[in-house]
Amino acid sequence: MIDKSKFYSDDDSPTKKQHKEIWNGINRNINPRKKAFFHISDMRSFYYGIAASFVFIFASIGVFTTAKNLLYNMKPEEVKLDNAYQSAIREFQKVIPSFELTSQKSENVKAFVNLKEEQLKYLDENISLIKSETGTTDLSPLKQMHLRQLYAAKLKVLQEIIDKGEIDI
Amino acid sequence: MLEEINLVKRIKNGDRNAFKELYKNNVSPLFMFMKQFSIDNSKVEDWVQRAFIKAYENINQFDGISLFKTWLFKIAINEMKMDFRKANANKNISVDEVEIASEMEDSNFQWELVMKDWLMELSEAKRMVFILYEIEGYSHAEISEMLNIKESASRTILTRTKVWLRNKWNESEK
Repeated sequence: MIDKSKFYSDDDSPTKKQHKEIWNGINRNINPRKKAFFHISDMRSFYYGIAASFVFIFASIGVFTTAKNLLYNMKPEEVKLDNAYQSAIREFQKVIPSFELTSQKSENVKAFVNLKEEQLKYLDENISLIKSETGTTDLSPLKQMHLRQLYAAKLKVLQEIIDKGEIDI
Repeated sequence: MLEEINLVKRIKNGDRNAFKELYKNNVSPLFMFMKQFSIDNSKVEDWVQRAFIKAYENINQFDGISLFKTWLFKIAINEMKMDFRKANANKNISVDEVEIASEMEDSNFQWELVMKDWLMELSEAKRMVFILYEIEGYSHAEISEMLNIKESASRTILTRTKVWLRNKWNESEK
């Protein structure tokens, strides 16, 4: 390698004036750089972080589901049955048709709707009464049986409304 | 090196003073190198200026694996090549045509001041390889990256240039 001082002469170096002129030219042509809002300094760490977040999220979902299932399995059979009836009733209520009472056969339909509404009202009152008397976990066997009969009756009424809706609407 | 990494980080975050610092550190070496390819000072100033502007605009592409100076030299060389191409389409500064031969490196080469004038008779490609290797101290691998040529081509060009300079020296001594 040749010594730089033996190759470059003083004439090769930029003068102070050139130094300044070049910088002024550069300064005029460069736009102020906007500060990066989100600058990733280390891509590999960034990807590891994203992967770790996904693992953490899925692990959390797994733990939550397992805990939820465990808690549900620990509940007494009566409570599970009560939940099953309530769930079935909710699903039935979702598909109950709305009756239009303007047609020729509106009188028959109106009578049917009124009757079923009364039945449902009666059943709901009785269900609420039994539930309010005691907590859901400490019902007596007799009351449990009565409650299930009420649930079954309510389901039957809802089914009749759905069947009627399929014919009349 | 660490200082340079910090300066680049600051530029990426919008610090213009950091860029001025980097300019101060690198303008003279670049200017001196570019001066070997034109006697017209305004041309040299233009290459240097354009190289710095491009470096600033593309600073996010600078990975920091090489020195900033190496990256800057590469940009400046490309700017210069572009001008040569525009000025004379027939004038070829490409080194693609160099025949790759297994020539031994000339270890007896002795630099003489008069050789600098002779270098100007050579093509820009040969001059570039010679100066980058012998004066600036870049390796053939770095030169191949900067000039976009094969490493073996860089070696061949250097050897031939040295042989040519030595022959010329021998002739002048007679």
